[in-house]
Parts: sequence; C-alpha cells; structure tokens
Amino acid sequence: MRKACRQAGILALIFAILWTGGSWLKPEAVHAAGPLELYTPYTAVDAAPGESVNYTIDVINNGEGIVAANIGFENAKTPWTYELTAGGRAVKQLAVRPDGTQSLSLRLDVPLEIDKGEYSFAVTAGDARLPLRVFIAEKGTFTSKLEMEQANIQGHSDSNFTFSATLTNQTAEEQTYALAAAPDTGWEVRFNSGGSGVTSVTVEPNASQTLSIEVLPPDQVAAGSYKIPIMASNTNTKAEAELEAVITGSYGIGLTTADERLNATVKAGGTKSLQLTVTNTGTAKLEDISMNAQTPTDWEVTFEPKTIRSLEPGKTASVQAVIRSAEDSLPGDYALNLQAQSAQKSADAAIRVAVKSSSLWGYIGLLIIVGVAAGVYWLFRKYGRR
Amino acid sequence: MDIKALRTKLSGTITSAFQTYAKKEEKPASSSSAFWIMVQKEFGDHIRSWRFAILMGIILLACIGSVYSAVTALRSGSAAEQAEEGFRFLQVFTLSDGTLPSFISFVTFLGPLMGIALGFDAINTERSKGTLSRLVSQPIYRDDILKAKFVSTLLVIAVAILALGLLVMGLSLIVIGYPPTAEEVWRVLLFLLTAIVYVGFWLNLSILFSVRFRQATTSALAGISLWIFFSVFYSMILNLIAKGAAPSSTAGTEEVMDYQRLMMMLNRLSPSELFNEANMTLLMPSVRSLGPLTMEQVVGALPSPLPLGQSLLLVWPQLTGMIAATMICFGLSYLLFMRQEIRSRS
Repeated sequence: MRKACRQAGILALIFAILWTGGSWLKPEAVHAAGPLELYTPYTAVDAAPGESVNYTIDVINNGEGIVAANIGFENAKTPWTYELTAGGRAVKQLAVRPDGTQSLSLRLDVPLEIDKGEYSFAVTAGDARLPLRVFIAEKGTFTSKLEMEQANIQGHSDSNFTFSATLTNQTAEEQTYALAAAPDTGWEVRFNSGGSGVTSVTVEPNASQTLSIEVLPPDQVAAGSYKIPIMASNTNTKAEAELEAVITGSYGIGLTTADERLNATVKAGGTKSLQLTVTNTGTAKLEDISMNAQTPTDWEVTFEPKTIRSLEPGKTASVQAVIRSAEDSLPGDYALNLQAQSAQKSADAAIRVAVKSSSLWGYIGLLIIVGVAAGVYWLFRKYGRR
Repeated sequence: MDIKALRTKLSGTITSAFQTYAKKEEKPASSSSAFWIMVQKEFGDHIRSWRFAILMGIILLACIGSVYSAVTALRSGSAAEQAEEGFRFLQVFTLSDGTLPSFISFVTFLGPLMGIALGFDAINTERSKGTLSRLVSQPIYRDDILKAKFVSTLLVIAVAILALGLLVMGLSLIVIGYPPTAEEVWRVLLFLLTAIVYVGFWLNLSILFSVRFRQATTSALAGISLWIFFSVFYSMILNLIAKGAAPSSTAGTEEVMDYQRLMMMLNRLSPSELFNEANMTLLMPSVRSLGPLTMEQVVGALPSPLPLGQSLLLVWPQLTGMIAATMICFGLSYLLFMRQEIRSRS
C-alpha cells in the first residue's frame, strides 16, 4: 500500500512538476534568457556623413531546438537606410539550429545631411535585441549652391548679358548637375564653362565650378527688367538662382531715300542730288550720326548736314546728298554705298547710279556730218546743173 | 546702163521736159522724176546682173554657215559664260563655235567686197562703152547720173543687207525658239544700218576709183587692193609699229596709256576697225568702253548692260567717222566727175 502510495505520490509529483513546471518554465524561456542571442563585436562606431557602416551580426541559438525568429531593425529618429542580408539575400526571418550560429549582415547608410551626435539603433531577432550606436563626428550637409557674382546687369536690347556664376557642391559625393533656365519667350540663355557651351557640369565634392551665363534678349524687346530663374539640379540636389537683365532700350537706324528709290542717273562729271531720310527705328536716342559714302574712285558725295546731332526714337531727319561723278567714269551702272553711322548702329543704302556719258561729243559728231554734207551740197551747187 | 531701154522710159518725161524748156527756157523742172527713173533702171540692172547673184550667193552661204556656227555654240552652252545675260538673241550675230567665223566677221570681211564689186565700174564702163556721152546728151543733169548710180547701188546694198540680217534673225528664231526683245530688235536694226553705211563707204570709194581711173580693171584692182590692205596687211603693219613704239617694261602708267591711245588711234584709221567697234558695242550691250580702262574707272562699276541710247552714244564717233568718210568719198568723186570732160569714145 505504501509502495502504491509512493508510486502515486511520485506520479502526482511528476504530474505536478510537469503541470506546474510546464506552466512557469515556458514564460521564463521566452522572457528571460531565451534560446537566441545576438552578437557583433563593434557596437559603437564612428562614422562620417554619407558613409556606410557594415556590421556582421551572429545569431546564436542556445536552446535545444531549432528556433526561427523574425529579424527586425529599430530606427529611432532618422530615416536612415539599412539593409539586412544573409547569404546574399535580404532576410525577414532566420532559423538557427540548436547550439548553432547564423551570420547576418547589416549595412547602415549614414545620410549626407545629418547633425553631429550619437544615434542609436537596434537589431532584433525574435526577443533578442542588439543595440547599436553610431557617432557622427561632424555635421553633414547635403546642399549645392549657385551663387551669382552680379545678378543684375543693365544693357541695350542688342547687347549680350554675361553673368558669372559659381556652382558649389557641398555634398560628400561628386555630383553632375543639369543646367536649365526658364526665360521668357524669345530670350536665349547659354551656359558656358571653360569656353565651351555646356548643358551639364560635374563638380567634385566640396569643390566649385565657375559658369558664365550668356543671356540674349529677343530683337524687339521693350525696355524693362526681366528676371530669369536658373537652376542646376540632379535627382539628389538642386541649386537655384535668379538673374536680372535690365533693358534700357534698343538702338536702330534706317537710311533710305525720300522716295525710296535706290537708283539715280548722273551725267559723267555731273552732279545729282538725292534726298535721304535717316530714321531712328530703335527705342533709345541716337547721338552724333555721321553720314559717309563709299564711292567709285574720284567720285564725291557731299552731305548736308554732314552729321546729325541727335535723333529721338521714331523721328526722322533728312539729309541732302550731292553725288558728283568722276569726269572719266564709264557709261553704265556704278554701285554707290551711302552710310549713316552712329556709335551704336549704322545703316546702309546701296544706290545704283547709272552714268550717262556726255552727249557733247554726239553733237560734235553731228556737226562734222552736217559740215561734210554742207560741203557736198556746195559741190552740188557749184558743179551741178550745167 | 542700157541706153535704149532708158530712152524709151524717158521718152514721156523728155517730151514734157522739152515742152517746159520751150516755154520757160529752163532746164527740165521734173529732173527729180528723171533721177528716180535712172535709179530704178540702175537698180533693176544690178538685181538682174550675174555679178550680184554671185555676190549674194557667197554672202548668203557665209551667213548660213555663221548662223549654224552660232547656234551650235549657243547650244553647247558657251553662251552662259558670257555676261550677255538677257541678250541671248544678239549672240547669234556675234558668237562662233570656232569652226566658222561669226556673222559680224563675215559682214566685216565680205561687205567691202560687195561695195567694191557693185561700184568699181560705175562710170568708167559707161565711158569706155561710149554710153556716157550719149547719156549726157539726154536732157538730164550730169550730176543726176552720178547720184543715181550711187543711190541705186546703195539701195541694192541696203536691200541685200537688211534681207540677210532679217534672214539670220528668222533662222535663229526657228532654231532658238524664243523671240527677241524690242531692244534686241533695235540693236540688230542699228547694226544692219551701220553695215549699210560701212558697205556704202566702200561703194563710194570704188565709185571714186571708177571716176578717176579710165580702166575698169584698174579701179577694181585699186579697190580690192585697198580692201586687202586694210583687212590683212594693216594689222601686220600695226604690229610692226607696236613693237617699235612699245614702252619699256619699266615705263610709267602715263607712257603706257599714251602708247595704248596711239595704237588705238592708228587702228581706228582702218574702216573695218571702226565698223568692228560699232558692232561690238551695238551687239554686246555689256561693252562700256572702247578705249583702255584705268583701274579707277572700274572701281564700283557694276557689270550691267548699257541702255541702247548709251551704247549708241559710245559708238557715235565711229559712226560719224564712217558717215563722214562716205560723204567725203562721194564729194570727191562728184567733184572729179563734174570737172571731167566727157567725149564720145574718149
């Protein structure tokens, strides 16, 4: 009976142990030590902005069965990018044999734009947690700068505006920037670097590149100030600036004859006067317009007046030109070029001058013939009719 | 001139003339009608003569040849190289493909022959046949005889040359296929007139010889030798003079110009040269000057054709020279003829 009782007691104890032990042993295994442990040798490292930190993490199974655990990454503040790989693949869950070890790789990318300080992360595998710390020794900036030496230039409508800009790459990597401008219709913006036109430039980290930006206003541009936004950008970074071109007015001059006929007739050695009209076709005042002419040799063109002091926009002035052809010029057409020239602009009028030879010799020839005819007539009178 | 035919034609005029003479005791007033009758008669004689037919045959052949040559040249495109744009029609007269001379060189060369051939026996044959004294014995003025000879022959020449010129125009119209402009027509007509004056000069020269020399052969020979002299030997003689008078290579501009002017003046003593220059200017409107050109004159000049009036003014001295020479020749022959004694069988 005692033996039976002892047997029953042992049985009950075993049951009790099994019962209770099963109930209090299980939570302890999960909560406290657990079968998995994470290990990496360098848990606190220094890193520079833009660097990648690589960790090799061992997952150790201290338990007696195969343990599968979800791998996780705790990222407190910053959106740092990371990659957890094992065997060349990104892993979500890892299974470890009893008393076995599995390697896990973590790559942590330090962002370019980051403050100095300490950053904490943690890798988890099931319940096991491995805290990691990264110290950023210096502040990282991820910016590009486009600085204008002189962002405002004044000029006439037909002048070229050349701006000088400096593009600085303050990121930790080499950057290739696409250059773009958003001018008004008709404006042309050209980027030059090192003497040649470019549409993109590559700048080393923490280096700068000088750009010259040429801006050509349209032909018929009104006076005023024009803003042109320019931009150097790529997918990571961009820099913007604004140019300002101030147009003071355009210069234009026109020269024609009063009746718009560009041909004239002149006797050899004779004179011909032409009424010319000088027009200011621009939007700015013209000063000191001088008149001159390119003539055939020994021809003379005199202008009255020789210079026009000033001419308001849209106004016309008339000039008398007297063409004197050379005594020995050939009959037929000659080209004559008249020019109205101011400091800013000049206008040409090509005149075709038809030279007529003097008919004096024609009359003399006629006289000779008449003289001979008279002689013959005299002969007729003297000797005829007898 | 066939005196019998003339007499029958004249009979009406003569009777009326005698009546007038009887009334007013004057020479016949209707001398102009007698003159025109003589002109008609002479004209008819020329047209019917073998001499004229042979001459025309030669010249016609030459002209057709030159038109053929010009048209070949035009077709082969050498015309495009010349600056005569817009005056393609005139090139028919001036262009040659090298195998045959151009129309104008034929006229320059053969025109004098025509004038000489038609005029060399105008007076002296009449004289040697004895018809002159009989003609003079008719109630017509003596000077009318010479005038009628001249006018009728010139008419024959004019008809021949105009016919030839228009024939060439017509032929080239057929071959080229597009019409000339009004200015081109005027230029061609003026050229033909110049040719008439030129041939007229040689005609007068030969009439002068026919008055001066009693023998027809002598006057023919004199005319032909002068013609050959001017068309062949004169340029050779000029070459000799040019070699002698040429300035040294180091000579200044003035010397060279003087030399050029001298050579040109000597050259222009030849009637064929005058005719040539007139042709060139009339048929090539881009010719702007006939003398030496200085660089100063050319600066700024545009290569454009001259208007017709200006071309005409340019060759006016040449035309004057030719017309005056013609008239002087006529005047001389008139003087000689009027002062000559006319006897029967002299």
